[in-house]
Amino acid sequence: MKRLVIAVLVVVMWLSFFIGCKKTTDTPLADTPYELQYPDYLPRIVIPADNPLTVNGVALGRRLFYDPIFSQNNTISCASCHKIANGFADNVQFSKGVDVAVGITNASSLVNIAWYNRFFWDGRVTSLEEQVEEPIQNPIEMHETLTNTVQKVQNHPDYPRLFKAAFGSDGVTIERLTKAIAQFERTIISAGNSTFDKFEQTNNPGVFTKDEFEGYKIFFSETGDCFHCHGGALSTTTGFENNGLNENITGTGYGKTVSKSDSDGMFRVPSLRNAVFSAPYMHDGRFNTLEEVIEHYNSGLKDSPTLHPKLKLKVEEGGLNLSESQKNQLLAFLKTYTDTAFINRTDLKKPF
Amino acid sequence: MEKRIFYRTALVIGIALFINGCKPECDNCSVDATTTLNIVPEIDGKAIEKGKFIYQNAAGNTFSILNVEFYLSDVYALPNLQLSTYQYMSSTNPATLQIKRDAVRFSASSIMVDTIAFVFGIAANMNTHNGLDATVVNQNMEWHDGTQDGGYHFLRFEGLYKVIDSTDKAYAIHFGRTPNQVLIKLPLDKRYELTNNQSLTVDIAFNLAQLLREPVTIDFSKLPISIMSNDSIQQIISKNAADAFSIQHVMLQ
Repeated sequence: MKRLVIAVLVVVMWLSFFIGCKKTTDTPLADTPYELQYPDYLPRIVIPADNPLTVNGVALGRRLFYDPIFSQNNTISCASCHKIANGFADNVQFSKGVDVAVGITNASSLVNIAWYNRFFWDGRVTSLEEQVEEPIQNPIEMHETLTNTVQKVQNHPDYPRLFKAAFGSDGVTIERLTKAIAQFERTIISAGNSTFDKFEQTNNPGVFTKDEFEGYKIFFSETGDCFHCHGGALSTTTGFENNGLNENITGTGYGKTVSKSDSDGMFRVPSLRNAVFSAPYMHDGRFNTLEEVIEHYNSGLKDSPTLHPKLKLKVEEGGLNLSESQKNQLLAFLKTYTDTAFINRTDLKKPF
Repeated sequence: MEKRIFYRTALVIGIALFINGCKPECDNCSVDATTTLNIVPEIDGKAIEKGKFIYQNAAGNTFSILNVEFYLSDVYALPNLQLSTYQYMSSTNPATLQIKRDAVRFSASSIMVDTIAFVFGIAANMNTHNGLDATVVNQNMEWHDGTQDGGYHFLRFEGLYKVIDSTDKAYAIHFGRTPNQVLIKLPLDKRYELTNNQSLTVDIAFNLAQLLREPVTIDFSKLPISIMSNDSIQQIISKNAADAFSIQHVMLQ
């Protein structure tokens, strides 16, 4: 009998132990890492040591990204100008901020932003975390102070709990807020699904139509000479170049940022992945269609001292001088960078 | 019987001698020495200064330099120390211009170095699509001429040159494609022996002017715009590059 009591006690103790240890929620712990998925032919992403991606951090960042709480009148969110349907860019030349103020540059795409180390068209910011602060404070964008932003988020019924899940305590700070949004933005990856990716994976030209493959050859040769800036798996150097938009370039672009005239007129080289979704094009959104972009390189290049040398050589010849058929083939190839699955990814869409 | 014992003894001694003879001078020795190569791009002794029209080539072009990027691969301090599989170098990023190899484990108590040898460009076995590590820099240096399998640019050398009564024009020396790699062997003035805590530093000049002369002079105004698909120009650059590198300075400390 004594033996039986002891045995029952042991079983009860073990049961209590297991029940007691069982998690009361399915929410991952603050430090559950979020693993970025992308093909191995893309460069490795360097994540800042002080902001590793976590499941809760990314989830919080996603919610903040879509929340207009940052703007002065609670009308504008990050997603207002970086729409998933437009490849996380805007479909207008200049986005509207609070009080319908209008910006002065085209909202750049956030696709594959994790690979960049300078941000905005003129590269004036050197971390994604720091980048987040600017639109909040910009008078023609969200026009809010960082202090008010933190206060509003802290007073929100849900956010303190979400900050606790992501960072271990419910205190809202601008540092945590920008870290969370940067974490989410680093998950905005498009690679692996496009026709171009299928070619990368198989090296089989059969994945292209005849026109697409002819366009590929124009793009990746000195005929079109697109690849010196848009080559590689990312379809961008991630750097800054002058692509012949203006003759007067003094004090513009990256040159203004670094106070060097030899970089005047240079702007970020955008990735062409999902370009079909992200019209209008260029830092000032001057071109409405990819046809217009191709025509710019074909016959509209403007010479200036910092124009990319390979384009400067083209200027001497009057541009690319492509035939109508070649332009159509180049357009057909550009469309092979399209990843339709990406703009339908539920993990990137508005979570509420 | 005696004969048998003799042969057995001889065999044992022979094996012992063989094993001893093959034994390294020093098992698992660690030579805590550093070997450093500093590559110094220049134009006939003038340092690279971005955007300044201070250079002249053999054809008489007065030119500026905007960008010099290149690869060295299979870099060795001969006879037997490998320094690097490959390295990307850029004139605008001094850190890339140095190849450094720290402590090495050798079957000897010292390292002998008498020659620096490397491939100017990417060695043929790596010069394929995605043959190098997937980094942004490497992908930016990919070589395409309408195909996927061109490998990498060995060199990008770009800038502007003066033209009378005209605005400055551009030149873009893009060099690549197997088998245009250039094997460079630079004998040192003597054989250097590195022992523990010593460092050998070798400064190597990369005279880009040499690429534009000897045996064939290159005139920027006569270069084809499509230089990458022009095999004869690629071969000329390859031949001109043969003596573009030279030992400037060697220091053993």
